[in-house]
Amino acid sequence: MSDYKVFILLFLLLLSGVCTAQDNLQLQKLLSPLAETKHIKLEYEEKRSSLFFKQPQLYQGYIEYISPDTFIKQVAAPNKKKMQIIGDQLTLYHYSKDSSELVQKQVISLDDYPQFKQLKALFMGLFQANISELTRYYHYTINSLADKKTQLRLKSINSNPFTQNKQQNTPFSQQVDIIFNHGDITKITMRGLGGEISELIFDKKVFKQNVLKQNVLKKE
Amino acid sequence: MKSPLSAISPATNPHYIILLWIISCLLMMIFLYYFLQVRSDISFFLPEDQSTIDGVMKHQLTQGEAGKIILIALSAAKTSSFSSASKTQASIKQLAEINKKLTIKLKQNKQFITVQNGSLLLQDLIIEPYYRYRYLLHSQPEVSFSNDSLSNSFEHLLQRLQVIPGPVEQALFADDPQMIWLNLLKQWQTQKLQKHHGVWFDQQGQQTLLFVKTRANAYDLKKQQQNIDIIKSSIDTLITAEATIKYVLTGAPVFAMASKKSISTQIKIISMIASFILMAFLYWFFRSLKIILLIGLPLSFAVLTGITCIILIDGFIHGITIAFGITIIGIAVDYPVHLYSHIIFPAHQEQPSQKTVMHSIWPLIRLGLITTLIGFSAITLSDFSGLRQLGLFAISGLLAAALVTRFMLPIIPVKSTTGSKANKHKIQTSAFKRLLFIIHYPLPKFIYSLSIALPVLALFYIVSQQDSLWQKDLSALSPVPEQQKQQDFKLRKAMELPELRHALVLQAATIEEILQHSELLKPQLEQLKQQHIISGYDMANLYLPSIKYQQQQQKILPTEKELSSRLAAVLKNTPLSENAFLPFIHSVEQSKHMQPLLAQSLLSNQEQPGYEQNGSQNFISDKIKTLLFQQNNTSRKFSTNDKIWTAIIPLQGVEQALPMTTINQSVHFPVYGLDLKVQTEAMLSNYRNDALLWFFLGAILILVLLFSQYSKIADLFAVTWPFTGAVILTIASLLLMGHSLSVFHLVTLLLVIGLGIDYSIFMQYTHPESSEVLQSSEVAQVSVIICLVSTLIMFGALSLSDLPVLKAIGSTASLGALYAFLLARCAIKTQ
Repeated sequence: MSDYKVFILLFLLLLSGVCTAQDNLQLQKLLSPLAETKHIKLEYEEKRSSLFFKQPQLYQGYIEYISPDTFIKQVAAPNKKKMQIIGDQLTLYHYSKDSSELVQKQVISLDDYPQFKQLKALFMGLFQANISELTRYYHYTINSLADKKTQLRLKSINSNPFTQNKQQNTPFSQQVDIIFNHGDITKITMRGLGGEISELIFDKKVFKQNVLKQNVLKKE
Repeated sequence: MKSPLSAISPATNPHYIILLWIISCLLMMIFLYYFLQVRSDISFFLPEDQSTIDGVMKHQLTQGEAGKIILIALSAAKTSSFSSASKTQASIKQLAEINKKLTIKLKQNKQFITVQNGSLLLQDLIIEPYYRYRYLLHSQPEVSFSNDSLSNSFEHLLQRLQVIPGPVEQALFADDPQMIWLNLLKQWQTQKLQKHHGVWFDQQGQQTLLFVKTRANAYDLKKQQQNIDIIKSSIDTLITAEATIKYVLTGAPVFAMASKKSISTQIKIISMIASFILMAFLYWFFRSLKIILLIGLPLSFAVLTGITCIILIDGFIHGITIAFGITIIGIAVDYPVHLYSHIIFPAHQEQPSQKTVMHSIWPLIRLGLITTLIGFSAITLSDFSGLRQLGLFAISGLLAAALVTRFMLPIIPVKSTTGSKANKHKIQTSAFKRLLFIIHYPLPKFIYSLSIALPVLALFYIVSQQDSLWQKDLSALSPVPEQQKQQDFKLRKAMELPELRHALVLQAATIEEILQHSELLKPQLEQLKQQHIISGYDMANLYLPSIKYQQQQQKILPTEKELSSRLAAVLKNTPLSENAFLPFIHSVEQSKHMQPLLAQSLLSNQEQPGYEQNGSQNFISDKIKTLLFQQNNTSRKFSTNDKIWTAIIPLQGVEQALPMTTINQSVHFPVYGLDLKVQTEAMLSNYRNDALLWFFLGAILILVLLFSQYSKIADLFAVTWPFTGAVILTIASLLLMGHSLSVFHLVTLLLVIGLGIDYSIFMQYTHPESSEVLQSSEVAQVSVIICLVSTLIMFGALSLSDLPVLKAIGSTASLGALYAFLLARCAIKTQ
């Protein structure tokens, strides 16, 4: 092989390495405002479409992350529901129809609910700015949008142990689009197969702390 | 007219014999090359099925689940005690990842029926045909098709729909919104270990656990070695520079391989060392490599003949027969030693012909041979196939060795001391004189009285130690090191694997009958659980109910119309769409009309579509096959068919005696209790009693024969007392050393009797008054010492082994030979 061809090959290899390194740097830069988050609470409005629903459902509630491994999703309206993940333990809270009374509390292993486990992994990856965790389970691309917004697109890898899809020719089982606006997450859209969509819009950050306060979790 | 036999007489055709011997060796070797089949199946050494429990026990020992399970524990290499919590967490995560990868890798290998690590990957969730039959198989009373129950199920489903489900979950939600299948799977996975990152960990969280069930049985050592190698190489490929992982493999197949390796390594080392020492000793005495080689010929021929005879009769030979058989025909070495002692050390200057020497000592060898053969022939009458084969091996081998010594060895010329070079002659004579000195060394007078009194006292001692006389615990004979046993016990406990000891057994003519019996027995078992007599149980019926039950389940399923109407009512005020659950309505409708799931179709070898999951059998079918099987109908109680169905119900946490009478009274069919430990001990006891019976019979027959040979009481006493006393003293010595007798000791004592007779006969030998025959009583006595030392070298080396079986054989034979010699030595004087 002539010298110049070798040079071009080496250059391309170097370039790909540099590109990868630059992508990770870019992701790191994108997630850096979230890094070292100890406690964050975000209010959301959710539009949930599913083949199981008569029509898309609208929910309101909040998502809360408490370092190191607590994730809470509370639906406030139309019917109160709560899901809390601490470590590998999932607690589902069922409330009465008028949402006033806790009817049932179900404590289950997260291993029995793999889709919840994936949700937790996603948010842990984001709020801890844990790139290795995210890249372990997702391919990602970063796109610049209008109004100085940035889109982080995550597609789950087939070898994801959480999902382990049988259909090898399916490109992905889940796609997650996260919109960042000046360091804040404003929208998360999750798409699964078979028409499953969840759009979470974050209007207001209730609070964000880089210092973890004591007794954050209220007993219920 | 010449007799036809003169044609084969060594006198007329000496080389004919050698040619005949070579041809027979070649023929046997060719025969064995094509037909040799060595089995290591322990069932061959188990008794024929005498009862229901015998049959089940045999099945459990040979094909039971326990024999196929390999436990694997992975742990991180020890980190500093000041490791941070995060480092520990990272280590747990790393271990979990390796566990998952290893599980996936092993599941792809068809050598393993099932691989379980606590996780049930989504791709493994749908296990046919059980998934399709879930509405007929489940016994979840809280789940019904009432409006309330349906409402509750859909409420839970709504919770789960808070997040995007994957494709498999989506299909499950649509097809089985009540989650009957997932609940069934949870019920069937009996291990309730703690999990981290979806896989099992021990209580301390330091070891991640998984187990595999091999397709091969535990005694199929070749395949088990392959399985272990596959597991080890799979783990090694997953270990990286970052992950310093230790692993432990344990379980019956691992023990079997470790035992085999340990036994063969020890035997090789012991044989090499002992053979070297023996050859050195024989060379010291005979000063001839040729003679040493010739001494080995009868034994080699004996082994070849023994194996050939067994293959001709049984079609196969057991590994234990070869190992044990070679040991007990070690007496075959004595025959050529006697011959060459007399040839090398003639009393007169003129060397007699080798055939003359043989002619003079053959009656002694013959007598010893016949008495030994009588002893071993007794065990060929045993009910235990293993003992029978051992007896046949010994008889055919010893006969062959004696015939080679009688007819072939005298033909091969060797030089005596008279023709040797001067130095060699001097050395040989010196060696001879040294050994003779041992015989003629004057013993204190009291020794002779002691030679009578000591065995008598020893007999009283043995009678007083009856409680500890017999080895009852099978595990004491196990060659598995104690440390390994403890490791296995800890891992089994950590993995909450079912105990292997207690079980209930049901038998019936048909599968349906046995499944219905199991259903009737369930309330009794639940009661035992409530009373804390047991902590749990397992039965085939939990995975596959009877046809009757399945049909009852079908009756309570709603029709399509009913279910649609209930669904509409329940989902009316929910966001859920009825149309999304059409697969559910269709599944229930289908279940209402399908044929019940038959055990026969699951237990057959035909693979069904969707039967295998990612290359490995599903654990449910495997479980059923373990708990439900066919056996020979020996008792003919339940049917006249040749085969009968047996269900085994393993019990966990049995802390007290099972109330079998109460259980049997509460049901109208027989329920048998199985305690594997008690049963194997009983089996061992029967084996030993059988061996003891034939041992005594053999001893009596030997005494009768000797009685017919020796007319004088003094002579008879001199020949019989040494082996009798040797047996008694050996048993007493073993007891004093803290050993109890097992079947291995008993069979070795037969060898001791043979040696004892051999020593006595030759020690008592006095030459006939004939000028042609040598003064060979001294030679005979020295030859006995050679035989004794040979025995002590070979068996003494075995007694140094730390393997219980080898130690038993070695110490019994060494002590027995020594006592037999000493008593025979004393008997010369007392006579």
